[in-house]
Amino acid sequence: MVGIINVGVGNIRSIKNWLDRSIVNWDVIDNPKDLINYSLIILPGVGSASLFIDRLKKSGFFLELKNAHTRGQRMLGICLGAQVFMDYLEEDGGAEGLGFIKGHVLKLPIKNSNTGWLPFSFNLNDLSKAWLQNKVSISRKTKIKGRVFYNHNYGLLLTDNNVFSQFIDCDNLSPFSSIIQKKNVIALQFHPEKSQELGETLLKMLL
Amino acid sequence: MRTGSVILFKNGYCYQSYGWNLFRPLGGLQNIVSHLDKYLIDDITIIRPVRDNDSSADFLSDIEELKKLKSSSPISFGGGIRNIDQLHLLSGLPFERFIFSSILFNENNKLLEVATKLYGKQAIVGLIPFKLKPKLSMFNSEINKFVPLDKLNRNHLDFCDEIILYDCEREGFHSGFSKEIIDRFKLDPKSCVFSGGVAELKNSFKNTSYAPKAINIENSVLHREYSILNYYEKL
Repeated sequence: MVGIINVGVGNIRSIKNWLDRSIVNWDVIDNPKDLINYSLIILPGVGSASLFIDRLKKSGFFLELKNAHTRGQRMLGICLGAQVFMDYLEEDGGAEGLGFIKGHVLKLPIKNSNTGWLPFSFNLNDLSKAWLQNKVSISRKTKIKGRVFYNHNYGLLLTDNNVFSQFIDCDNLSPFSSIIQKKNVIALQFHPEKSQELGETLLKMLL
Repeated sequence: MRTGSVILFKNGYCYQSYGWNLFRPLGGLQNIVSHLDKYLIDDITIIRPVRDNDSSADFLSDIEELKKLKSSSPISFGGGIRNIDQLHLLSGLPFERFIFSSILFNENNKLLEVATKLYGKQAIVGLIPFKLKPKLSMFNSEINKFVPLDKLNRNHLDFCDEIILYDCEREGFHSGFSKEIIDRFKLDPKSCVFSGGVAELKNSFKNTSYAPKAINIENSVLHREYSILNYYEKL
């Protein structure tokens, strides 16, 4: 069963619709102690970093996510949810992340946000066994190529070379990652739930 | 450059609007959004075309309807977001970005500050409906009037990640977006979305100094002559 973390901010409804379109069972997780019941935990994110992390801490999810990570439960972070997996987030004066992935979340070197579609291709077999061995096979597809939708001002900057990562396919954003996988954690900077057909295919591949 | 579509939505129905005052019913929201999803539209802008007579009950009723919407495309929403209580209601919507218009004419920027805190700067979009004739003026929906350019609080534009320039005179027509607004307004087109009269290839602005970040074609999926499909075919 897939669990979607709810802390009152973040685009929960889009995630529910995304899972429904792919005929995947889901629950909304309001109590951090319930995290243990789920084979995949989704941390969605739309909002500002300081408010989101504050809500995660006050609700108890911040600590329980660390416990779930230690237990090896699989987690998927989307946009701001992915940024929280890193060590440090620069937005709003700076905040400590969960530290599952070594790296920082820094302001993009562009005037406005990166809002729009960019190319994305992905080979499932590039992921490590830590993710693949727990995978549920609802799709035999292993490769996809198309476009994904981004909407962000800050980006994922890895400092760990020993993880799977692909960079954003755009000249001035190429140091920033679009997808990172480390052991039981996947961080997606783009919005798969709003990436139309590719988003649905990606979900089925990653499950 | 993104190619999006505008949907006008109020009291549970969608409308095609012409010249900012004639509304023709288009049908239910889900049907139209599903069509746009099938077209693989780049993004969808849903606007409540409300004026000074908007009520909390109407706003709430439309929000409840919008919560049911299912779409795989990026969506921006605005129209009548005028106080902080309404801002909090938006978190239940399946949308990424929110559009603000009449607040851009106010002195107070509290609403924009809170919106940025709640949803992030990347989620804040400004909407400036304008007309050039008889002289350049902007529409302030809260007072239901076109006002001179100097009534716009330009400091508030710094809160906006993108600004939709909505040509009221060309709205609903397939050509003629008044690109001179960029010169008159002294805005960077790379931060702007052009809307109103951009459904023809000659108005795509591609590879020109006026090339915006995105264009919005009025939603006309039920009307072949102005359809997005038609626009794509010409590209």
